[in-house]
Amino acid sequence: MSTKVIDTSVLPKTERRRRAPSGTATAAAVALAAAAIVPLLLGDFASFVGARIAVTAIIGLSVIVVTGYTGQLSLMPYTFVGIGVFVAAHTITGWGWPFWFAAAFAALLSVPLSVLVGLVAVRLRGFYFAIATLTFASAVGATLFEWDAFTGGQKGLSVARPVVGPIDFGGDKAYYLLCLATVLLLVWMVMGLQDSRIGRAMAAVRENETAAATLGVNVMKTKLVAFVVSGMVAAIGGVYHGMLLQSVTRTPYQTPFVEAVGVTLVILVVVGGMRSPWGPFIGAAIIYVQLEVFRTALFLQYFIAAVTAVAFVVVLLKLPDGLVGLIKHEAANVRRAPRRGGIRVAIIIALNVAVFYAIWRLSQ
Amino acid sequence: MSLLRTEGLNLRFGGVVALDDVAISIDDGEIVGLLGPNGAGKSTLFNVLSGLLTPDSGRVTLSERDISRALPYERALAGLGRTFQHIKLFPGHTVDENLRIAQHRHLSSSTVAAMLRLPSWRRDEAEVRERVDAILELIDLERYRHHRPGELSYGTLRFVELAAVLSLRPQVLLLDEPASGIAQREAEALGPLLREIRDVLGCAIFLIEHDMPLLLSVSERVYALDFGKVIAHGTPDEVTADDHVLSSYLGRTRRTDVAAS
Ligand SMILES: Nc1ncnc2c1ncn2[C@@H]1O[C@H](COP(=O)(O)OP(=O)(O)OP(=O)(O)O)[C@@H](O)[C@H]1O
Ligand SMILES: [Mg+2]
Repeated sequence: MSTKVIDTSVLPKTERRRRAPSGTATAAAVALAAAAIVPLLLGDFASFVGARIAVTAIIGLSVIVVTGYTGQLSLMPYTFVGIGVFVAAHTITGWGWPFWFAAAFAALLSVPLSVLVGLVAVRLRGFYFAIATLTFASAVGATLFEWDAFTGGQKGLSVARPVVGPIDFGGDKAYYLLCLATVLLLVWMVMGLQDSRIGRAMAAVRENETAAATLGVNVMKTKLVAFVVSGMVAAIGGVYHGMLLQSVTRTPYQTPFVEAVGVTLVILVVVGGMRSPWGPFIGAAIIYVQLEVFRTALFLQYFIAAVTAVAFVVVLLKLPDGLVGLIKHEAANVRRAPRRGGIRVAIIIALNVAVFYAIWRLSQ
Repeated sequence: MSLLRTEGLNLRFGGVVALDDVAISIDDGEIVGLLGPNGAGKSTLFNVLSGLLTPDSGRVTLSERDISRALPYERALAGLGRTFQHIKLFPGHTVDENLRIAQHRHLSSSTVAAMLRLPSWRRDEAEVRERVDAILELIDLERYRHHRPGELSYGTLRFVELAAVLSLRPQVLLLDEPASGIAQREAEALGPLLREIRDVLGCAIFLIEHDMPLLLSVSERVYALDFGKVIAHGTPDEVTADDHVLSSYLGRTRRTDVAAS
């Protein structure tokens, strides 16, 4: 008996901490099952929205790596998405490649561009890094995406959804499940990165470049690696984005749209949570689902910008870890005091729905 | 054979001569003190040694290798560790996480290995845990493992920063006023701890300190700096008896170092 007591006290505390508290695994499994089943039950349109959420979550993961982990604000994620989109159009539809091969190829093709941009941008900090990425986004839009052979000119190109053996991912339901599986895989990969030598170097660079360098971290190389990984993830997201839309044109990847959607994505990721790979998924889910639920509201498009702005400010001031932070916090409350915690959660959800409902009523 | 050496280091900030033809030399396993009044150029010398400042002229060599042009991280990897007069830790991370970051030099797994959780990543993570446990034991910080810097006293943070730089396994350790801002009791523990660190890790220590009893008791040799110039050098007894030092430093009563930049 006594040896047992000593043994546990000798265990590194981090291990005990890391182990998920009881109930969390069950809650995660339930949430996952719900995410997989609910859109299918609701039908094709809900599955399409679900796939859009999953694809946004993939693209958002690229923001997590470079901005959330490494602290460098890149505003060109959709430039890499564009590369993925058109690579998908050529390789999947044109050359009949399997989609996963196209995704790997798009990731590879993004590397020369991210290295080129990276070599310039990693020498810069903060504001200047962001401006450099904007400039490159604009430049790529005016050159590579103006190349008609690559983008299909004004008419654009079509992208086929994959058929793998007996499974046809052409329908929205099947395609949603494919996107969900992919986002889970990529979240798992980005989580691994966070708990590694490179991930810790990224966090060190984000918090204090001088201290990081003093401890032997190559600051520029770390930023470059983050930027390259981020570009690869965004390009993979682009392949899935292309298959989602099935018909793609160059306009969204050129000025002024490419910058605008880049900023919008960063806001979505901040609201969802910058420090967690789940952040983009949760941010996209909460924003897109409510948008669809209240889409009959005529002027919602105008109000959604205001709501997002308010949510953004609230997150910046009150929730440094975004909705992921809020969920973790409330889950801890529920565990400690199930009744009071449950009431708190109900109030938060009710408030959130009330805001959207109020906007909806106002705009009728 | 000297481990760390400078030759003819000069550095001016506008009209201020921060370093004036500074030549110092530190041997393997030695504890060397650096004293001088506020603004003498002590921290500037450390910044030049660690590559954060580029001198106007002069050379820095580590184990006979010229590192004058090396970047700060390259010098760290070459075995030069340092702490700062104003503590630099990662405030968003716990002590445990800070010390994990500090193990960077000893790990090798790649980005891909981490993302796919390959065996090399697994080995790295097991090693990082062991190394952090060992350093927490050496500096006796286990009970602060899960605290963030903002929750700890200044004195404790000094020890955390020391633990972080020791994680590098440096050959030379540059300590910029490790006793400043910490309690008397902790300052008294510092002398024996520095000797233990030297004995256990076998590194040389170059120490800036305004706490004279600490500096003189722990150092085997002392350099005195004033207006960027080495004005005296020798054993603690020799330096404290030096006329220049007496008039420039020890003669004056100043305990403004805590408030000074
Ligand atoms: N980055 C800088 N730019 C301009 N002047 C500087 C800079 N860093 C230091 N100085 C000046 O160089 C001189 C030496 O400063 P330094 O910080 O090296 O002194 P110090 O010996 O460490 O003093 P203290 O005991 O107060 O820490 C001072 O006059 C200081 O004002
Ligand atoms: Mg100083």
